[in-house]
Amino acid sequence: MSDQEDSKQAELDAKLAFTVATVWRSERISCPHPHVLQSWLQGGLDGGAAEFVAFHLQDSECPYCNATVDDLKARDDEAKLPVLKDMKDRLLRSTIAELKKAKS
Amino acid sequence: MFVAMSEQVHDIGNLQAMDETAWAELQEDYYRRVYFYVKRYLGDHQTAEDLTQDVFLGALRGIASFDPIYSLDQFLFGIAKNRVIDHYRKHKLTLMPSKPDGDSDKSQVWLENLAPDKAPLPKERVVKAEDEARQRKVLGQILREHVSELWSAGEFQKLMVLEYLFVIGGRNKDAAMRFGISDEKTVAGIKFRAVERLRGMARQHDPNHSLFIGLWSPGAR
Repeated sequence: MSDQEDSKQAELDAKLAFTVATVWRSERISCPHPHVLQSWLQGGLDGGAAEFVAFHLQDSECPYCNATVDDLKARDDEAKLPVLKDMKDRLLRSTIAELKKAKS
Repeated sequence: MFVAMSEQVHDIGNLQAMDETAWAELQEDYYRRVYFYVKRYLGDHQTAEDLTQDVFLGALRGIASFDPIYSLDQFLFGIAKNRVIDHYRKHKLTLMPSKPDGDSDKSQVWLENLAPDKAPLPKERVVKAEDEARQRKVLGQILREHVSELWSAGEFQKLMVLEYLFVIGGRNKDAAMRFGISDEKTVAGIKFRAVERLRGMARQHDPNHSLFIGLWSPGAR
């Protein structure tokens, strides 16, 4: 392959990688189901799957799955997080107020 | 195996009709995850709560133009992502480029490629945007199939390598070190075979070779 062909190939690869990366992230292609995340939290996953979930959460730092894991942990630890209950009430009040405004 | 994060079904029609019960249910289903998502980037509880509130108010204002090509997950977390980016811009905080072999925060790579808010598109760009949306949808379908294949076959190392290369943007050499693979050529081989597999799957969805940039161009491997 000539230098020119190599360069063209590199450009094509970069375009393809960019497209794949963008879609992979936005479509959350490898985000495990919340049930899988729950199993991982409880230590119920096999070696390879557990390793992948740990990689996805800790190396890739997927913010969506980390949010789900934080949520699952908080549900198990509800009593220690009254802040969430208070927040839920405040959020609901502001949403209802906005709904009333939108309807009027 | 790999699905949207919520299993609860929310009726878009009821949300668009501004039904209070529908909105309360949506909020109950999502507020914790949206809050934890935002807090991951901002750290501070009060700012995260304020932005979570902004996300739901933004959803309420934007639901009339909800595009069914996206899921509610994507709609809500898309708004959340834009609010985080807006916050970073407003406070002149820097989005640090991620380095897979460094200690930088890799969650930042998940924020890229988003305009803060949708501006109206000029007519000539509408067709292009529609093509891109179609391309993303089909490519998403193909990637999902491929990832499910790897998961079902227990090929977790390959899956991690591909995520490392495509999502984090890591280099072959670093992937070899990270996953204890003998050399970077082996990593390149994993990537090459994955791209070939995707291309094979794409042939079924793209018989006219009109969808994928780079995939069908002359000389593309």
